[in-house]
Amino acid sequence: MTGPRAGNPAKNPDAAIVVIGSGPAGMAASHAAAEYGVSVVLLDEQPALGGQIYRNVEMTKRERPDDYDLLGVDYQEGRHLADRVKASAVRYICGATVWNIETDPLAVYYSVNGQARKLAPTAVIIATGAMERSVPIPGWTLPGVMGAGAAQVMLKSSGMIPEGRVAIAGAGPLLLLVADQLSRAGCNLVGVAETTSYADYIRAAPLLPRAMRASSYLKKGLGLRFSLMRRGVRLLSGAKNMRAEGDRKFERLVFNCGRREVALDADLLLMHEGVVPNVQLSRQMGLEHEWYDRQDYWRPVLSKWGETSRKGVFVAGDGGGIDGATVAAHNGTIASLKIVQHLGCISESERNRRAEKSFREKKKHEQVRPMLDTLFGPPRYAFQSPARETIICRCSEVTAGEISDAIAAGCHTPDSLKSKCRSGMGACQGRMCGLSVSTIISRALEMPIDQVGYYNIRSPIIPLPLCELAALEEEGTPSSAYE
Amino acid sequence: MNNKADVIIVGAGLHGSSAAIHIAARGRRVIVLDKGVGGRHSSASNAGGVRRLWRHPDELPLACEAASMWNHIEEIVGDNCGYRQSGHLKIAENKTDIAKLEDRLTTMKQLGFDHEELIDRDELRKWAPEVASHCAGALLCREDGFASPFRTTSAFQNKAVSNGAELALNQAVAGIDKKAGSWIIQTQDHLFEAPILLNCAGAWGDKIAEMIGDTVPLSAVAPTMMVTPPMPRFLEPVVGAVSRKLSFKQAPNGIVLIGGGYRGKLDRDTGFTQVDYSALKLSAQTVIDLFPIMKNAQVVRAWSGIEGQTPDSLPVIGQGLSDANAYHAFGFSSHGFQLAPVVGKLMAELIYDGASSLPIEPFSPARFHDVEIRNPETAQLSA
Amino acid sequence: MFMRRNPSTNISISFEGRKVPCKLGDTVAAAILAASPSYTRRTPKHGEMRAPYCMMGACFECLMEINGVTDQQACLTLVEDGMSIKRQILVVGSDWA
Repeated sequence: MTGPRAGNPAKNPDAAIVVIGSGPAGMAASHAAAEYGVSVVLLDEQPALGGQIYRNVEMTKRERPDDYDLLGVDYQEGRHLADRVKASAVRYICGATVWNIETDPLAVYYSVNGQARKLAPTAVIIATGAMERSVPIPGWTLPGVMGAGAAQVMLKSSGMIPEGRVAIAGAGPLLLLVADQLSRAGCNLVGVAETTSYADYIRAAPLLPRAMRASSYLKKGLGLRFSLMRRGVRLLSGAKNMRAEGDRKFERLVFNCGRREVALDADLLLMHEGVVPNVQLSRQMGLEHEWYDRQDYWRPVLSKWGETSRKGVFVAGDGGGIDGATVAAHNGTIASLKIVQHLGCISESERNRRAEKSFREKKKHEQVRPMLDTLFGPPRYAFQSPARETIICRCSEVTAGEISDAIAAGCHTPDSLKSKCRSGMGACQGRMCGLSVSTIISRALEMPIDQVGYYNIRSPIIPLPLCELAALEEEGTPSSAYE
Repeated sequence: MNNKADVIIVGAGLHGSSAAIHIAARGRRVIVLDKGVGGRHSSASNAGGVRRLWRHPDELPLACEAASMWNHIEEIVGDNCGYRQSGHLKIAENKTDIAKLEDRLTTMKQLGFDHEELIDRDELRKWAPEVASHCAGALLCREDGFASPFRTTSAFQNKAVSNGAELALNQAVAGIDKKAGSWIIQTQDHLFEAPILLNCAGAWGDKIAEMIGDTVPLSAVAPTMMVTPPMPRFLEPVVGAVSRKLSFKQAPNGIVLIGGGYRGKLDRDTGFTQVDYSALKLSAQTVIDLFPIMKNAQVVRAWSGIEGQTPDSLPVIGQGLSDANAYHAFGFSSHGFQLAPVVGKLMAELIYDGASSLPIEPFSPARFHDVEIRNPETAQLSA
Repeated sequence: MFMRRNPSTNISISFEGRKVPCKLGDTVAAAILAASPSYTRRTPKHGEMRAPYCMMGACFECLMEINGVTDQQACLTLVEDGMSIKRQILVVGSDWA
């Protein structure tokens, strides 16, 4: 133990553990640690517990029972976790955006209600979850093109559904779920264009028996498909060369389906190509990451307890790799148990005993991954060779063509592209273009993407007003290092 | 690559590239080594200030020559480097500050420099309409400006290559020997050989100096920059302040760059830097105090680059102490950007003409072994 | 672009001077999307029209001027009665930084 306020690190008045993100992983982690009397601060940028998957779950149940029913049992599950966090001693701070984490010594900077603050915990659990993979097609910046996840957020947080004709395009489990929910809510779905083809289904078939061990996922997937077909929603498979067209707003989705060209006229296009870990914080901290080839995304390198390359910093949930809400909650518990034991609150054998159930459940749920990964594999054909006019960096308005030209002119790293084209330099800090840029370099130079690397992510990862920085409050000094 | 050359330059940043341009132009074979891709630290992560204002008198002869080179920089390196002659201001906030500006002006006149002028409260508002009402005046250099650090570093590197210099990147120097009148420079996987060695290793310059037997005191520092999203245009010149650390400007695309020498943490061995927000608190307050329009402006990105700082904040330029065939040009202490075009030219002169056309004695590495101690306050940190 | 399943509202905000009824608990971005805004910002470089995209705080397409302060993430800001919302329009061109 070191530092000026040496004492019981578990009772650190600042926070022994800061958990970032209140989705399934963050809620489970906070609750598990608080059970042992460890001081926990749970920070989340949303106004209520739940993360994106369980977004606004408490209020939806209380005030909008129709929406609550429509969103189904997978959503309703979140309420139990939220209840447990509420009943615990966890210090939950909503509307708190974390904009920087220093690793040496550990310090978490966040803003809430226009006030910037600093916490100096002993351990950090990053549970910032996933974000939708960017789908750069020509016209995807037009008003009227949104992520399919956005439509879910509108339903969960405000009870709103799209008005007018809706087209849905892409792949992944969430695509059909959103289509089904919107269709049941009475939306006018003009069609679902799936980039998944029959060939993908055939490739995935041999993996079915193993996946059956986690069969609830499969039943859900098939159920959604039948439900949509029963409602007469047009499902088009194997969509290629998608483009969104329109004059100042989205008017139609055009794509190739086999040899024919299909045009879906609509007022709103919802796109989805699966989700990827949100690595913004773990990248900003300079933690080690690896490329996960089966799903084409970066994830932080983690121990079996979820510990990163920096001791005392953990990642739990989809931010460490996409496994869904149930596994995320187990990972949260597992990370917390490791920290609680490290802080001396439980013995190693007690930790192992408590963690065993989570490890076992987690393994069961992971059985379905190989099949899902194959079926909804990364969008290798659809989006990896974007047409020159396609905007890649939405913030700084940089096209695929400009990026290719810069690569040809000698910019061979994401950071040099950033300096040259200003891609990734806007407010989103590369969240929307980072994966695309690394992929484009990798393909242009025929170099493995893990050698290409990723943008160097700079703090603040959320824009910080100067007046907030000038009034930064520093709550405490580190009470103990995580040695 | 044939690893024998007439000159080996260590460091492919702005100063190494500038020297390579001039040496290669004399028909000499040059190899430029870099531990990375060159220019990742001070060269490309500085504020891009092209400034004579408030510069140390010893640097002014070089800075004046550099200023005229910047005026036709496109002819020199084949790109205009985003250079803009915007003017630089040093703002006085009270009478004490004004007195310091007057002293400075007197000194400049005595030394025969006329690039700086004192402007009053009203004139200051013409140059910077959004400046805070308490600001009392400023020193102005109309011919100062700024350029894009990335474009500039790329342009200098490209010009060096087109002049015939060879870049050997990802070649960290592991050891330096001298055999039969030639330097043998060992990197991880190669040996390089040349009769002349030029050390342009920036914040790592003292380590290279040590390898050839010269002791030069240098500390590594990581000044921090912050940038905002595009804002409506409100400021043309680059702004500093007399009594506070500030370097402040708005780029043509509306983004505002805030520097001033507030330092982050660093690890020179790994190149790791970490922004120190506790220090930047003061930087944010300074900006708001001088430009109230910035109160709600947002910081979208902050970063620190590693720079070499000498005890007197002046660079190390000149012949080696222990070997006449070694030369140094490093340790520019956060204000070497403007000097890059001229220092490269002087190094070529020093090496091949036996003397430089401008006075560089004040920058000799020998000065650290004299008893005389300079006042570091006079050399400002605001490249 | 969007509509409420239950049309009841309890407060209002203004969008470009137009009164927009909404409900406590709405984010600014959701409330504006229910008012058919056509677009909510223009890009600094080419002046293109944009509207909220992800609604999760990741894409920053929902940047708007809220109560006179620019660059606000409308999808992370909750509505308050009487709030004044404007499109964020600042076109500066494509010069270097």
